[in-house]
Amino acid sequence: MNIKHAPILERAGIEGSYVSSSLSWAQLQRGTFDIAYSVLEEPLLRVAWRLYNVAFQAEAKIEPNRSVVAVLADQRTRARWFGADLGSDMIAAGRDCIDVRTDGPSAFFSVTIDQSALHREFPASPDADALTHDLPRFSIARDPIQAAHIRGVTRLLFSRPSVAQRMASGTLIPLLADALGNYGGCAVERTKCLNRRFTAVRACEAYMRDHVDATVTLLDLTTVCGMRARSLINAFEAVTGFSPMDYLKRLRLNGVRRALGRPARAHTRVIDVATAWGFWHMGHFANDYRAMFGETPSQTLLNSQRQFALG
Amino acid sequence: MDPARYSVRIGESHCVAEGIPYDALLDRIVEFTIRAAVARSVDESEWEHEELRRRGLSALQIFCNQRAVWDDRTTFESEIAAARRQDAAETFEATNELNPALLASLDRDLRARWRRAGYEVPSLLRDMKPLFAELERDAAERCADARESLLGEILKAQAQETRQS
Repeated sequence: MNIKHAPILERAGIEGSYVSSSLSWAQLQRGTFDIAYSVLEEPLLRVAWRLYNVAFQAEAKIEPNRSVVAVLADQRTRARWFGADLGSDMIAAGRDCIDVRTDGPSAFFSVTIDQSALHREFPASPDADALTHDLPRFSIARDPIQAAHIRGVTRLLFSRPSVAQRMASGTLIPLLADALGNYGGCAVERTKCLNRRFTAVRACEAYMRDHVDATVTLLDLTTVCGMRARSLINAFEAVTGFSPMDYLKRLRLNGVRRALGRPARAHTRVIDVATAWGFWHMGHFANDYRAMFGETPSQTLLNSQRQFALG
Repeated sequence: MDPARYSVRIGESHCVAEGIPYDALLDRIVEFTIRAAVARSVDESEWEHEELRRRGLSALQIFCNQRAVWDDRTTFESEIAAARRQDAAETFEATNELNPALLASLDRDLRARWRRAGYEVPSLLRDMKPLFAELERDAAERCADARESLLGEILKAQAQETRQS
């Protein structure tokens, strides 16, 4: 298997699936972020295996006419798909967009299907319909046998690269069609409480992103989402694993890291970037940044400037 | 008289004190600590409260005359060197200062206050867990007493009403 590594999710995310450049992501746990990934590409689908070493969250739009089916690649992974717990006995599916959050190291197998190509190839196939039109916008189905089946076949494809190119579509399309044909019957219903919590967290995240350089308080967030403070804290802990203010700090640290990682101009200064992301105390900022990413902000800047100079 | 004015934040959002003298700063930190411990005792603590409990005084972002106070010499020196490389030394020096003695003095003075209030606690620099434990225990006892007292009052009032009727 040809395993690649990436220190940021954008690179591996875009290469490994049909997500568009609107990917927004954040490393949520301390450590030096690393994604090991491998992608099998065919005209009808892309199969990806990804291993993340720390917790992260990612939201992205999928390119038009694509759908994604994903399963956990191991038992250790703790993940949420649009806020709902995703277990190893489940199959996650979606089109238009993805929203994934993990609690720690994680591994996924995903299959991204090109719906147009599939319909061109099999115009009258009910399988093609199951894989495209019948797929909900985002959902999870509990189907331990099919989940294990998809996991087993995908693992096999990656362990036998010589045959994988020939058999990926031929094996996976009927398997996925079978799994998704029965998808409605196994779908895990989203509770009203989960929907309310997820919507509140998404609204707060959007507010946090729009007010990166301002003081954002819990009161502001309760106003944005119309929840009581305690309910909002519970919602954040259920959906993200962190309290709102802790999550805000992590998002902002990621924002600084992204800005330092691709400096907009030659004379980028850490102090300006940190202030632009709402960090007022440089001592605490420097310590938090180093604890989160394993290097100082100035090291990040220096490394990216070196890479920029090397072209 | 110390003309310095202090501001303290926890995280980027919670302001504990803004532009006040040293003695008033001690009052504010004590008040915030009590509020945090009481909130925790009724399971209503927020992230800022937990930060104070877990990290002690090192959780506080302290500003003296609007300059961020650093207590870690090594990090300060490496960051000021980096700021010089980035032509930001002037801005950095205008908004930051190294003063490890300030945290030590806050620790000493706060512990003296807690001692006067009947709480003998170890250093508050790295965490406040023992202090929180004592405050939470006291809060829980007071709550239990208040509940018992309320119960007694209601029963007494009902007994009176029964006698009158």
